[in-house]
Amino acid sequence: MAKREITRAGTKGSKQSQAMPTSQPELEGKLSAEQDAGERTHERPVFVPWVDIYETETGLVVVADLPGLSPEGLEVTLEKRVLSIYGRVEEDTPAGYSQAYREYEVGDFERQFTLSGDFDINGIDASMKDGVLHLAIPRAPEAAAKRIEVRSVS
Amino acid sequence: MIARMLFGADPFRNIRRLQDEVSRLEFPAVNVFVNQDGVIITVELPGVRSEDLDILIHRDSVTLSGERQTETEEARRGYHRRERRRGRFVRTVSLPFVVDPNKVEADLVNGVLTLDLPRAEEDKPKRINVKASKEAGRG
Repeated sequence: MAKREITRAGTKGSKQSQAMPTSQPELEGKLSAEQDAGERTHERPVFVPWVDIYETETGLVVVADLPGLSPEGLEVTLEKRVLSIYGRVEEDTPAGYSQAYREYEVGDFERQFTLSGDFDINGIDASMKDGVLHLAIPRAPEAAAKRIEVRSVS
Repeated sequence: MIARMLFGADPFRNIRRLQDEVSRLEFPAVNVFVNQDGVIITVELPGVRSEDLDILIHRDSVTLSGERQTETEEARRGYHRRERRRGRFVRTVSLPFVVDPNKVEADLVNGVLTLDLPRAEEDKPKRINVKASKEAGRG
């Protein structure tokens, strides 16, 4: 069972002035990835991105919310039908400012899916726009049935 | 279902995920940073285009409203998963002081909105120099 590998920073001691929202809510924007993967070597929050997955005429489309991720920080792999999305997000705290109120944390994104059926790895089209990843994964063309010749051995 | 997405073997995962989902009430999530000269607000708005976003600043409050479209024409064959938030949203954030609406800068990069809100000049604390007059002081 995967242990809790994330140390959450930033939840402690919130300095709130009277004009700020009165309660510090649970950090609810993103779902922590603690449930999914094994332990990590670096202490950094990792989140599971929210996705939409739908079927098209030609294959599957995966749409994932990855706010704050620049396209350079994204890694998408498909290996043995396991589709992995990993995104490395840069810390966003502006220099010279102190944190007054925090609802979301900045961390990496990670999520994996096991696809059923064969997909064309080379045909995957990945694009990022406004922090949203759009992955179009075409199905592999049906492999033509290959007849095995049986030699008769005398 | 043609393509089934399988996960790990933990049977309680989906329940925990559901709990997490129920608890995320506010959209979008907002972070607020301050110093004595202003406030910086960052907001996670993946997939929101700048033309669909409305920012209203009145004295010491900021109201963000807009619409998030996740529906696409090609999705009509049906969803396997549908987790992303959609629809209209409105959020108002109170600031610790009055800001100058004419100097506000808004940047929407990679789905994160950064609002730079400088403090209004008339709202800034003023340092008063006390002049020590010699006659009064040494008298």
